[in-house]
Amino acid sequence: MAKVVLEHIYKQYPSDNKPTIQDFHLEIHDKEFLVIVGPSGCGKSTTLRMIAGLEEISDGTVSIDDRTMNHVEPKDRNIAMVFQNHALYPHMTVYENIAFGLKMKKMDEKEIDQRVRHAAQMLDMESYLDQRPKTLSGGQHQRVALGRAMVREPELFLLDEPLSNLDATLRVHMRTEIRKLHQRLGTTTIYVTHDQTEAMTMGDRVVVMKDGVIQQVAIPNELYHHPANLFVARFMGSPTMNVLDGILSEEDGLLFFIAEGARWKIPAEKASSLREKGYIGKSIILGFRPEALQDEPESPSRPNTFKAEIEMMEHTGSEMTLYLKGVGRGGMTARVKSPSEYRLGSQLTLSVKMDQVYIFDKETEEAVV
Amino acid sequence: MRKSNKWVHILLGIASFVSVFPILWLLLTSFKPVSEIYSDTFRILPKAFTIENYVDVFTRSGGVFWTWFLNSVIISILTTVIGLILSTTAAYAISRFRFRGRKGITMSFLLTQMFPGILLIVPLYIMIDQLGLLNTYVGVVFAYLAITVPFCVMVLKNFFDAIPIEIEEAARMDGCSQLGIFWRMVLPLSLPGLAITAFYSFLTTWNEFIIAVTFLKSHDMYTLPVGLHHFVNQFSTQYHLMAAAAMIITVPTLLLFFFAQRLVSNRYFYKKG
Repeated sequence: MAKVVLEHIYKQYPSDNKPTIQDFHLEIHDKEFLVIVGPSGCGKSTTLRMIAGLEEISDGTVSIDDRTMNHVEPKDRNIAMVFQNHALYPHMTVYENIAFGLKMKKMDEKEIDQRVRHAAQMLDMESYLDQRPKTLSGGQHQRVALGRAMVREPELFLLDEPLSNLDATLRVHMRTEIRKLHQRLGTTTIYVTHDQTEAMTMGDRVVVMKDGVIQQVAIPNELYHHPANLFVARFMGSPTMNVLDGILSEEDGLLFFIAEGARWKIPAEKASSLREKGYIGKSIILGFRPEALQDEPESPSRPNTFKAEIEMMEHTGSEMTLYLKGVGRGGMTARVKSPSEYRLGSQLTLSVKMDQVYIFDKETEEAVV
Repeated sequence: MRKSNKWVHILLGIASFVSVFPILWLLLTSFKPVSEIYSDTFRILPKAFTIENYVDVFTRSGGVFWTWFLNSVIISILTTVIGLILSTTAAYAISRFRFRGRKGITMSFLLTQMFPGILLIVPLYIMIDQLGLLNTYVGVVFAYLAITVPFCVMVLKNFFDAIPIEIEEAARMDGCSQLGIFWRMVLPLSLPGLAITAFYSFLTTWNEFIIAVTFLKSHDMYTLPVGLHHFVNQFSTQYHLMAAAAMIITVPTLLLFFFAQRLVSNRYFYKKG
């Protein structure tokens, strides 16, 4: 088991103008399951490959258990990696694939056999040991790749989008299996994905990255409820957070968010914080999640409402997602209970639960309250 | 059968007949007695079947045909083996490493394929003569390598390009050195490419005539195609011996073809879909 420390890591490719990774600074605790999430090209895989030793580090240090690893060969870092396309050796059987790393270590044949069979048993792959990868399904490939990593009993597991080539059902199943495996083995794991659901469901802690820069490091619940900036707020959660541009205006000691078709009262505690930070009269970005929208029976006293037209509907069983036209940046999304009275194109009056809104600075897009 | 299919089959039938008939005729001729070959009556099938021509090929001039055969085997195997070593390593370097002059080298390999091989004979002759390697195995192998290696490099590079880099990275993480990756991963995964290039090198060398006749001076250094030419002399052509010798020359290439064919099917990569 291992503690991994990444200190002010930079990666600069000679052909690029700006660094792919900038000042990546993070400590990964022993036995932790850390997920790095971000859109394609944000540098998450590059970070993982630098930890693995497959990519050189331009600046900063990577250390595992206080041992600097910058110039240590990948094979000597005691790390096992699972690749996105699983990278099984096609000319070897499942047994040979799993045993290969141990053979390279010149381990005793008996010990190799014992470890391979134990891993195969754990992954329910015992009956496939003599088969070649091309005869296996995607999920079985995944298990062989995990088995190959497991048998080496590494200090650190690196998983680079290992589920992205699997179908939706299998992905959900393997997600649980990987978590269970981590609980059983307790090996420190760094898991890279572009899928926020995977990040939220699997990680002890999640690192959100954008353009090679860490946006936020937090436990999943905190990321969802207390995003550090607009990017994190919109990236985490599906459907994505609704966003409206507007200004904060004070009337009779009360604070209102004013935008086209909206005049919504800011709750007292948020208002006092905004006053303190000097946001009165300023342009801000207001965000709220689809579940912060309410569709209650029409009543004249209902505050913080807006009118919108239903553009599209998605049934997800007990709930329903409504895609609304006419408000917000590129429309809005509402998650409502699933009665059948909604019709495409019909007008709707929804109210916003103002205690669940987020306010972001217009310039920096950092969360204000 | 659809109409278009019928025409495709007829055309394929004609093409196959045009390709196979001369070889079949040669085979049948090699079993005909001399008198029948030179008679005025046209016959496809031998009237009297004989293996006398084959015996004659092997026994005439104190069994020199064996010497030519051996020369061909040595030169072809040397060219194939050395060529494979050079082209696999060069192709791997071009495919995987980024170094200064990489594009230039790749282009130069392509460029050599754009000129007829005969253009190389004069400069190669001068070089090999200056090295004192005329009329030696080494000299002629050197010349053949100059012809076969660029083609093999280009073919193998494409095979190496197709191997996912992650397989090599996984092997690296598993403890393989760069040479280990090449030996344990890249070569086994490129078996079809190795088979194709080995077969190409062997076939090119085995059947080559112009370089052999130019660079090999003495009778005991001839390869089979040059030796075969000796059945044609100023006043006559010994068709019966030529037919038998030509059939013998084909045997090793046929054997190699059947062996290589088994390796060419790409057995390892994943099923699609």
